[in-house]
Amino acid sequence: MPDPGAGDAGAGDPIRDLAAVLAGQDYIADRPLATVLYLAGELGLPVLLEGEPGVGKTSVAEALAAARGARLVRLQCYEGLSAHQALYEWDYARQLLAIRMAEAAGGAATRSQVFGAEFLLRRPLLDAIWPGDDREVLLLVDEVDRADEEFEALLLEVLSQFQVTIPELGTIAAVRRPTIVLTANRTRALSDALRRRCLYHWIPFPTLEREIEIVRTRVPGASERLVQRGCLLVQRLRTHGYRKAPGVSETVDWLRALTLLGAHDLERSRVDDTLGCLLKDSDDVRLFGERDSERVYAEFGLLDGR
Amino acid sequence: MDGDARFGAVAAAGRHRGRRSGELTHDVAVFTELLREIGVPVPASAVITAVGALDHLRLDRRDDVETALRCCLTAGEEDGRLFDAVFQVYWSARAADAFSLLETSGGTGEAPSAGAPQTGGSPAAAVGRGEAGEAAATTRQATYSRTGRGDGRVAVLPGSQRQLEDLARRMARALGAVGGRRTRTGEHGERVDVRDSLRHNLRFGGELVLLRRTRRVEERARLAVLCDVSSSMQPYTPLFLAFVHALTRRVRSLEAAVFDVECSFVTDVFRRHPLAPALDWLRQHSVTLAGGTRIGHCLRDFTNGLEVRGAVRANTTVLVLSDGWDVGEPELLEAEMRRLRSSARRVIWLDPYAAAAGYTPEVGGLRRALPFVDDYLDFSSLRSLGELVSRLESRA
Repeated sequence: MPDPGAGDAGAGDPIRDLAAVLAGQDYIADRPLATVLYLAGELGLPVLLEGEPGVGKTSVAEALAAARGARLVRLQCYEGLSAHQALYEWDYARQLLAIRMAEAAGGAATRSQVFGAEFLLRRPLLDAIWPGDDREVLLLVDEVDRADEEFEALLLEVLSQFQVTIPELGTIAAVRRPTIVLTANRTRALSDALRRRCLYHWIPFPTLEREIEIVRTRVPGASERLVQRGCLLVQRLRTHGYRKAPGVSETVDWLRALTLLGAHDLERSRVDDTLGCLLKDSDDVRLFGERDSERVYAEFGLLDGR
Repeated sequence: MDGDARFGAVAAAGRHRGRRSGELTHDVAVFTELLREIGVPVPASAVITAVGALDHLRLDRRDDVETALRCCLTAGEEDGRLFDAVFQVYWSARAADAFSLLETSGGTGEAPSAGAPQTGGSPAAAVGRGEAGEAAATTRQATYSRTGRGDGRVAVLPGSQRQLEDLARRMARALGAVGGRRTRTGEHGERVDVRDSLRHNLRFGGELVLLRRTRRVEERARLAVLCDVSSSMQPYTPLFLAFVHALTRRVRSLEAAVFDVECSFVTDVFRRHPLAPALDWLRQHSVTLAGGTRIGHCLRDFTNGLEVRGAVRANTTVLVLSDGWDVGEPELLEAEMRRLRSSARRVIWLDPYAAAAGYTPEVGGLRRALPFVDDYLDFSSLRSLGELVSRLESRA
């Protein structure tokens, strides 16, 4: 993208530095995304990333964690996710054992002994707030829109106060604030309370230039012509109104598959064979075959390429 | 966002620009007011975050400032689009008329900043806001008078009222049996909860004295009903409205709306009043019973309304009662059906002409919508409704 302030910004541009660090982890972030991530770090706020499936919401968190040398704690959300699986749980078996041992030793285990930190099983959210070691933590709450409202409410305390309340132990506040990244696919509307606590960023499909750059980074062995024409074809497909438009990860998988098959340019038969990498819905595949394939192949000069 | 809304937003941005003082905190606050005015709900805390965020940036990098303000002040893609529409205008260094948009003088009454000359009332900006609303109001009035014919819409089915209510209740129950994923632990239930039993029995020193059991919590089914009351539906409107009314009174977790050109939610009115007063209310509030149909447009308002009410969940069943006759934009209809389908559990389309057309609709709007419909069923009389309900019951 054009970089108007590049001349005088020089080395002191932390946003560009962050983008460069991410690029070192094979993640090509555009300037707005890098800005949001930088601000999240400076302000100590969680980031809520939304976007179509396959635009790299989860992988940005992975790249960020790797770049910072942080430990990635990932919480995959699903319907019915409860406090036991997300926050903490008491290790009942060990508690019972401790009671029995105390009895055998002649005394009785007191409540404070049994409900101590060593009997606590740390699930992702607590693990991020109260880690066992000194490493920085990046908490990834993946696909938060799949969880139900009850779970969203549970998240609020963690997101705004960076603390977890355990009735038996009291409130545990983070000594060092974890970086928190939430991702969502818009399968349902998230509550305003959750949104309000985060910086919001919508990740669009990348521009052609950026997508080519991403594929170059991710599939180093692919031929330049294949990458350029392949990305252009995917960008065309996205405008055709399919039920599930191919994301960047689909592009990467597809071009990796084509490279693996030894292709150096688009060929009709190969495209047909590998279409499943791009379109992952039976209706879309049918639609492509019946409606769009001739037009697309004509545009790319593949009609007589059998 | 359609053209009118966009134009209105840009006009508002031009107006608020005049209030900029050059002091950043103040200007961000005014910008927030602008966003709220065009429909982006910005909480107060977000303004503080935004001002804090700007401290960390080089203010000469305009794109960074834009990103920072966007990520702090908006909380959704829709909001982001509105933001994009007004950002360049509000934060422009150029004079206001560079956008061929003159500022309205009546606006705020505050002194304009040096860079923004106040160039008198502009017809363009005024059209964007006030008169558009007025025009909408006149259309409503006009269609309202058409409905004033009083062709006995309620009188069609005084005797069948009870039957209809019965069917509504059975339908709600058939659609309602959703087993939830969450469990509740207590003294009764089909399974033993070992963990909770152990924990519960810690008070007895770890002897398993009492067994705790879990059972699935049944989620209450959510229904959303959208009923077409346009002129093409006129023969069936009384029946449909009576059915929606019965359903609304029976089912607590239900949202109901009626539409033709505009979409209006009627949940509260239907729930509070018996059928005849409820229909009177509809008529008095110039909800256009019988007009043209813009399904796409209305679907958008409907889904937006549902989202605001928190009524679109993974277990929501959406009922659309319409013949699918559409004079609006077909692309919008398709996009909105896709959106509705992706957020709801099931979309059921009830068409009074479905059986007559052999379940292969010829109507353009309906053919557009059909790929996103789970069940396409006939509802032309009480009898077909009865069959429909039995079918739903047998499948549930």
